[in-house]
Amino acid sequence: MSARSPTHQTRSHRSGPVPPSLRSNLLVLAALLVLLGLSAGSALIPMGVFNEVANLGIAAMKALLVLVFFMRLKTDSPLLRLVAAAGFAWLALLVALSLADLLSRQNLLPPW
Amino acid sequence: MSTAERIAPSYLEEGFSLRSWLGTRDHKRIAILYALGITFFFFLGGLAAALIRLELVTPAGDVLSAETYNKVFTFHGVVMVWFFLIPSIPATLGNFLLPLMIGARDMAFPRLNLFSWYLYIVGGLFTIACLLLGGVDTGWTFYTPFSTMFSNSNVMLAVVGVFVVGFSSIFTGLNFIVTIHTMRAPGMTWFRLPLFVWSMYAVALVMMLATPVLAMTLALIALERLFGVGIFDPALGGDPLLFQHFFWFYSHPAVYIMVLPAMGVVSELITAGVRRRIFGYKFMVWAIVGIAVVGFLVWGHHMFVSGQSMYAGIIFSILSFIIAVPSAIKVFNWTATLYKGDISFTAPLLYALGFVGLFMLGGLTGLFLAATALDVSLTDTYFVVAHFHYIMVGGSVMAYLGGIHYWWPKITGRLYSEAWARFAAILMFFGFNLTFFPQYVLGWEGMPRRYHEYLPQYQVLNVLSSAGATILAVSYLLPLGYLLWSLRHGARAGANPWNAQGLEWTTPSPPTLHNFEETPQVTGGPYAYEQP
Ligand SMILES: [Cu+2]
Repeated sequence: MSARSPTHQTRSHRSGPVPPSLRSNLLVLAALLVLLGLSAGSALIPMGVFNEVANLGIAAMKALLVLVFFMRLKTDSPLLRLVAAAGFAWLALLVALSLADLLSRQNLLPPW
Repeated sequence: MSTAERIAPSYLEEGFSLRSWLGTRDHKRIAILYALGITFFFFLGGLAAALIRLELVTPAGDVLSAETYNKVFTFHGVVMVWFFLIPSIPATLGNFLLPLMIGARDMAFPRLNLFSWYLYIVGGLFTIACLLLGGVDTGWTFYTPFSTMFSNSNVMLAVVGVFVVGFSSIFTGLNFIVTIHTMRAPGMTWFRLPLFVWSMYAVALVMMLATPVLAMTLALIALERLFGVGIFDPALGGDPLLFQHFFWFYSHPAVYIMVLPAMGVVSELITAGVRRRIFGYKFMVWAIVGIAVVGFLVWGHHMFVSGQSMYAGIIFSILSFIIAVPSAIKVFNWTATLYKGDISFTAPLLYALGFVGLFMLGGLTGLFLAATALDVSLTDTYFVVAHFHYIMVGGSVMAYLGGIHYWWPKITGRLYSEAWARFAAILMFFGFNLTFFPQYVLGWEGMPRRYHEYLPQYQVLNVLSSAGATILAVSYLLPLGYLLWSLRHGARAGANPWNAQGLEWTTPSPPTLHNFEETPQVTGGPYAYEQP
């Protein structure tokens, strides 16, 4: 490990962030696998609507782990983090305004 | 300066083999490759338009069967939107000029730039294959449930073609954003960027944020059509309106992918044509950014009568009215720029003025359609067809051609025939209005779109429209003729034939491979024309 990290450092691209260490990568991988297990396991426990809540929550946590560690947003420049956040904001726009339709839709009965 | 001492050969003389073109990483050559592609598709889509107008000369559906007519207007829409309008200004003028205008040697990712062009060609081949194998009849919007459950035409080939070409525009957008962020010459601050560069930046953002949603939507169509996964089909638990939400989340911003670059071009043409600083530069910049952002919030105005919630309709209506504000700011500022200007009616300025007038008519009729009550009777009539052709053909195509004329000497090193060009510009303006203004009236009178036959009382206006289309066709063929002619016979252009401002005019015409002998130092804002 210690013998390899200097070359690791110099090989990182010009202005980009320092690549995560093997240890951090393995830890995140383990966390992702644990979450996967939780997600699969939750299917065995009947919680009604909360099954969905739990699954979406776990999915969000997994996405965050990938973004922050694997995609290196943790160590990268604020501009890049802003760009990543904008992507999510736009997705939220799509979902929010589509839901504005779906949740307030009234059933129009045929006049006959 | 006009006889700029040439130290290196021009980019056109860097190699003459096919390989030197198809393997090039020079942004200027890639722009030329794109120009060839979109010109081909423009005339291909134009042929489809000619068939449509021919069919509509008589009320009876006598030239094309209903099924063939559906395929023809679908092909016209798919080709013109994705293979001409969307790449038109960004991929040709944008690719060519962006590095020149910011004082850079090339794009940030030259290989990715070439790859984008190959994706464009591959997408185009799928679309042509779709046509040759019998075409597709869903309309360019691929509305479900027809496209997923009922259509027996080549939906998947068309969908794959559009999917692939979508990635071409995503990569172009990525390239533009990184180039503008990282490769500006020293002193070229954000508020010294020419408005064309700002429009390219805004359009790149829209491409990056909207096009992935299109790709996802098309992938969902494939999932449902091929594997019966229930996403849009109510029988499988889906929601057909979900498709329209996804589709228009891309396709309304796509209108701004087509028109923002046109606004950028027109800003350059007007300042150079009247030798005046643009009126309200910062307002123009914020209007560009404002249009790009608010353009994402209005898509539901395409769904007022498709069963969308009335309350959502009201929100989308208000937001659609709001986007008229930055658009109007731009029109006022272009007009104010003319004030006390040294106006010379060169061909580029004629195109630009044509754009302003036609864009205004197209934009104002957009407000009619954004009004929920009025839209009920106007939906799916020729009023809509006229409205968006005023924006896309009257707006974007006029601006594109104006830009091609203005930068032609820079791109090719030759001068075109100014007399012919003015004639074509004026003819185009008349041909365009004769083609599409009658369609406003037809729509107002209730003629529905997308039928190969119509009631006899609509014939006079339809004949006028078809007559206009022939004039329009001639006015599009004219530039093809005299511009190609100028390549061989035109006079050699100096570095700055318009005596215009901007870094691109400080390079020789045509520029060398690396654009600038030495990195330019920028000390002031754009458009430093003498003020009266
Ligand atoms: Cu729209």
